[in-house]
Amino acid sequence: MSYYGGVDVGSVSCKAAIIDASKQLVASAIVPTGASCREAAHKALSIALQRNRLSIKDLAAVVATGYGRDSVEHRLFSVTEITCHAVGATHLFPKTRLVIDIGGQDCKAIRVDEHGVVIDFAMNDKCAAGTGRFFEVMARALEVDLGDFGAMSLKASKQIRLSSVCTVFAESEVISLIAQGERVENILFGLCLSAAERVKRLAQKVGIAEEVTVTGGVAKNVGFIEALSQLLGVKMNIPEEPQIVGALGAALIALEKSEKKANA
Amino acid sequence: MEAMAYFREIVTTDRRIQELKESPRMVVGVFCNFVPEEIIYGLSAVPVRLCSGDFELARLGEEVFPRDVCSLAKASVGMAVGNHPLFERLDFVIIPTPCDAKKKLCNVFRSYKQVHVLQLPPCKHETEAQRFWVEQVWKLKEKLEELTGKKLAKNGLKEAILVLNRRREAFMRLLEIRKLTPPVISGKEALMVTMASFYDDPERWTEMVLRLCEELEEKHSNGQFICDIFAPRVLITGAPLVYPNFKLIDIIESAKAVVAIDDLCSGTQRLYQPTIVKEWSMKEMIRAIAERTLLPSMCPCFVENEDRIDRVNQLVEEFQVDGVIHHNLRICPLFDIESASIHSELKRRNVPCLVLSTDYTYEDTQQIRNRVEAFLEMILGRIAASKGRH
Repeated sequence: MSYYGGVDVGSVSCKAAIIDASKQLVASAIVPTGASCREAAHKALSIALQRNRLSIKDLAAVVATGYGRDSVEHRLFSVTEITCHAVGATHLFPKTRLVIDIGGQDCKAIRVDEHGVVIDFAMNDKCAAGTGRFFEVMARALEVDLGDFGAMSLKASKQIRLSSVCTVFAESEVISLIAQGERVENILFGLCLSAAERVKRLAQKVGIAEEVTVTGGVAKNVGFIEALSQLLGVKMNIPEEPQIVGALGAALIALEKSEKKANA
Repeated sequence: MEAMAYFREIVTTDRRIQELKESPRMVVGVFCNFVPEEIIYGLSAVPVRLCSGDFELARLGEEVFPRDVCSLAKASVGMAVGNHPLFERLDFVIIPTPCDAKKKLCNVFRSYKQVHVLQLPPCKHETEAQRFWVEQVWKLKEKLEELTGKKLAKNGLKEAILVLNRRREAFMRLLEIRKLTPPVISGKEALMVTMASFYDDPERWTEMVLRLCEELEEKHSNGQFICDIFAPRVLITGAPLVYPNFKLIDIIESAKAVVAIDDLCSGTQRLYQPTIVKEWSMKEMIRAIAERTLLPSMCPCFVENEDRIDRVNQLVEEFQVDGVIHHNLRICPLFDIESASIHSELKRRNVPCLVLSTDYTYEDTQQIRNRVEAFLEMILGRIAASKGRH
C-alpha cells in the first residue's frame, strides 16, 4: 500500500497529514514550528508516521506547503497554502465555493469554482487583525484560556461593537472596557464580531459564496464562527480538524501528481 | 557589446551622469511623462526623468518628508537631500502636479534648484481642461526660453518631434517582439530598456533598441527562449516600478513566469504614443505635443480614467496575457482606489487579477512571493482545468 504525505509549515504550528491511495486520512500531527522549519517539519511528519506505524519509506511522495515549505526535507515539490487549502477543503466538502483560512498570522479568502479550481483569492495585508495572533493577545488581556474563548463568548448578554480591528488598538479598547466594568463574555463576543467583520471584508473582495468552509486554528473558536455566520448569512462547514486542511491538501496533491507520473 | 548590456550600463552605472557632467548643454530634471521633452530638446537642453526607485534615497527623504508619503516621492526628495550626482548636475526642474506629494515636492526642491510647476487639469477629456493644458505647455515653452536664453525655432522643435517619434517607433518594434511566444526578452530587461530612455540620448537609445531588436529576432529564430511555452504570461499594471525597485518583477520572473507586458508610466505608457502633427507651424506643433502628453496618460490622478482598463484589456489580448498583477505603491491612494474597479472588470472578463500593495522596502518580500506563487498556481490550475474540459 502506498501512502502520501503533506506538510504545512505555518508561522505558529507545523502540520503533517498522511493519506492512503484511496485518499483516506490515516494519520496527522501538529507541532509548534519554533525556530527551525526543517526540524518542525521532520518532527510533525515523524509523529504522524509513528501513529500509524509507518516509516518515511512508506511514503510514495511528500508535498510541502506553508511559509516554511521550501525548507522541508524529502519533499517532491512545494505548493502555496492557497492551493492546498482549496484542495483540502473541497475534498472534505465538495460543494465548497469559498474557503476562509485563518492561521496564526494571516487570513485568506479563496474562491473556488464547481470543479474545485481556485479562481480568485485575497489575503490580509501585513496585519494581525482577525488572525490567531489577534485572539491570543485578547485572551491574554482578558485572562481567558484561548480554548474557552469561543464558548464563553457565546454567553454574551449584549452585542458590543469595538471600533478598532487593529490588534494593538483593540487591546487598549478592551482594557478600557474592562475598566468600565463590562462583562468579559460581552467583550469576547465583541472581539469575535470585530474579527469576523474583517474577514467578511476580505471575503467580499473575492465574492461571498453560498457554501463556505472555514479552515485554520481559528475555525475552532465557536464564538468567531457564530459571529461570521451572522455576518455572512451562509452555510459554513467546519472540518473536524480545521488546522490540518492545508497539510491534507498537500498530501492530496502528492497523490495526484504521483498518479499522473505513473500514467504518463 | 550586446545591446542589452548597453541598456544595463545606462541604467545601473554612472556612465550617463558622467556624460552629462561633461556636456555643455543645460540639463532639466522632470517628473512623470507629462513634461514635453520635445520642447527641451528643441532648445538644445537635455531632459532627465527624476522619478526614483531607490530605497536608500527614500529613507533619506524621510528627513524632509513625513514617513507616510509614498516611496517614490520620498526617494525623489532623497535625491536632493542626499546630493545625488544627477540632481547636482541639474540646471532646473519641471514638476507636474498629479498628486499631493508631487505638489509639495515643488516647495522642497525650491530650496535646492529653480523649479517650474507644470499644472495639470483634473479632468483630461473636458474641453476647458485641454485648452488649459495647451496654455500650460505654451507657458512652459516661454519659461524654458527664458531659462536657456534661446528662442525655440520651428525647425528645432520639428527635428525634436521627429527624433522622439523615431524613438517611439523603435520601442513599438520591441513591443512586437515581446508578443512572440516563447519569449526572448524578460519583462525586467524590457523595463530597463524603457528606463534607460529616462535620461539617455534619444538618438543613441533608438539605434541601440533597433540593434536589440535584431539580436532578439535572431534569438527567436535560433530558438533561444528565456522560458518555455508553458510559463504564465503576466501583465503588470498600476503604480510605476523604477530601477532599482525590481522586487516585484524579480519575484514574478524567478517564479517561472514572464512579465510579457506592462502598462506602467515607467514602462509602456512612456513611449506608446507618437506626436501627430498636421502641419509644421509652431501653434500646431505645440497643440500636438500637448495632446500627446495629456490624453494618452492613464494616470489615476484624473477624475475619469476609463482609458486605463481599455488599454489593459487591449494588451491582455495582444500579448496573450494569462493574468494581471496590479501593483499598488503603499500610501498612494490613487492606484489603490482604482485597483478595485480594474480587478472587478478583469474578473468579469474572466482574466485572473492579483492586487498587491508594497513599497521600496524588502520586509514583505516573502509575503509578496507567496501571493505571486499562489497566483501563478491559480493561473496554471485554471489553464489545466479548461484544457481538461475541452
